Amino acid sequence: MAVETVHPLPSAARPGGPRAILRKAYLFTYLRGWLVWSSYRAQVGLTIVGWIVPVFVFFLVAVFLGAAGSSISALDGSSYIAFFVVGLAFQGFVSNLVGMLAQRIRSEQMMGTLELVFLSPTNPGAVLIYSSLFGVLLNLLSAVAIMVVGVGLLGVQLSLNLPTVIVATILLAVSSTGLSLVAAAFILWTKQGNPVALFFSTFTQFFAGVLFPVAVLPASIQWLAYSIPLTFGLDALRAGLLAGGSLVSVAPSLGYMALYAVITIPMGLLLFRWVLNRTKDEGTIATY
Amino acid sequence: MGLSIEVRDLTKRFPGSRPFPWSPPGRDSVALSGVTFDVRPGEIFSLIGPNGAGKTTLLKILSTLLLPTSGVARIGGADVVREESKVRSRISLVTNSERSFYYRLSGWENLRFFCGLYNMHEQDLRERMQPLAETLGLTEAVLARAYRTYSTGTQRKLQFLRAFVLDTPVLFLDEPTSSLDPVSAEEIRRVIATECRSRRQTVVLSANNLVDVERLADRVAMIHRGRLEVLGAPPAGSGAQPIRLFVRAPTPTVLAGLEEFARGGDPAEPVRWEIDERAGGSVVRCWTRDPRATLPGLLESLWQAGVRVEQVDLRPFVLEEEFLRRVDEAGPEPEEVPG
Repeated sequence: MAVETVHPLPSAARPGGPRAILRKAYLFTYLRGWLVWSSYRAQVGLTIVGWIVPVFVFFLVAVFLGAAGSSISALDGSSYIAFFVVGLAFQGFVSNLVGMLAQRIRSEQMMGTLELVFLSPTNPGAVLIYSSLFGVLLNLLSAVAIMVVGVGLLGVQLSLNLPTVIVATILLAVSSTGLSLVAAAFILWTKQGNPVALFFSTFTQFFAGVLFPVAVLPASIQWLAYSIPLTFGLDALRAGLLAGGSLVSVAPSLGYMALYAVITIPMGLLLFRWVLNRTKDEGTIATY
Repeated sequence: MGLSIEVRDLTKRFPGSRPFPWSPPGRDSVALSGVTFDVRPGEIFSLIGPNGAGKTTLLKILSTLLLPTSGVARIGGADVVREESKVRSRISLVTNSERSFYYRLSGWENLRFFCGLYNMHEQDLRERMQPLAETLGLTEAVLARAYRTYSTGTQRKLQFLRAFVLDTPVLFLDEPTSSLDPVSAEEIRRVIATECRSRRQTVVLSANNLVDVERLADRVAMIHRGRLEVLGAPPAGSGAQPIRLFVRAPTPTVLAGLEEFARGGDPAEPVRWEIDERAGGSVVRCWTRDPRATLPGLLESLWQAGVRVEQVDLRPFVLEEEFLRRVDEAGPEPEEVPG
């Protein structure tokens, strides 16, 4: 009986390495991210307006209630404006990050490029991480824009500890990645509607100490606030931005965010992988 | 010689949908059933079959975009389920969809992005792209334009450019000339014939356009109702050979011409025929031991009877005929059976 031998086929993928990683980061951030996003000019304008308007809304509310310039003990001595400016800047940063991967998957489904991206030798998990880079940068820009408005127009006084701000921002982004993966898995499966991002966006504004301190909440539900990393992130960022707090002084908050990331990212990746296999079984990767 | 692609007993069943989680599931649909075939290195292997027969399902399983229900498929020895990353580095796919690039980016930016996913450096891409882009008529000015401004033919050419630049050993083509005008379709066929042959690329070509298959394929397999069968010409000297004519005349007139020819023929060598009415005319098939000797008398009889003969085909195996015969024999799809 004749036995057929397998013809060894060469791989078309070039070797990887740090330069290949940087190149892919550039391709996803600049070409796929910035060039596509900035080609929709109306969207660019409306997005910037969307960043800034809530700051003025809450400023006017604060003025109306007479709390604008006051220093409140529950706010650790910082003014209410400074409190909500930091809250809004970084709550927007995190809630956009949580919804962003899902949005990216949805847009690739609509454009028909999702199958082509998943057909390449780049691992789907890596594709998701590269895809999130542009969103991180864009949302960071929104946080900076809100802070600039706060400092330049609303008189927020900064007492900056840069290492604390940098480390807290990175950990806040990383600790949101697990939820972002869960939201991406959800949209890959259901195609429309993203309850994870929607719930996170509304839920955190209320519970995470964005517009008022967690201490104001009834004691019986304060644990909810401390089950989400944004609460700890905002504590650390307010300390680093408004009170010159050192890394050591915010170490417990940073530790919690790191722990949250270590637990939720593998869970998010596993869930995404499971959903990807399910859509591959159903043949619905590219349907929308 | 070794194998590039091995497929063994591959089955794909899609579960029936249910409108609500508590509803009973609908009937499963079987897209592929026990499909087995091999493709050798450098071979152009074509898949034909009616719409919905399972061609695209098979290509998607081989491209790791769809999981089989059972069976095995290997590309260069790598399993499409267990070693998908290895498989993906060896394959590229050209589809009939224009939605395979980013509309807001230029052709060049799209190439940079997709080839970058294979870790290809920009300089490497430029060097590989230049001669290929010339062959495909994609000038620098065209590549600098936004993809959304491209015609369907140019969009398809950009897909081929991406596939050829990547130079994967295996290339899957899903309806590469569909929705193209005859000039663009011919250009694409020429590119497949020259580039894939010169690279000894293994190609699996799924096509509804049988001209593509007849011009390009080394072997053809037909998928129908999820089953695959490799087609081929009957062995030479196996008995009567066909003469196939496309004629324009009412069927009774054609029959009169054929009967007239039979009357004047050799009673020891009777000619057998059948007539199929088709759009714009009829196909007449005559079987005889010696088509070349029979043809002049047959044409003369038909002409005398007033039949206009527009095409004569002496090939022992006509793909379109085989395709239609098999679909006719299989009858309507179960869902389409009346009553």
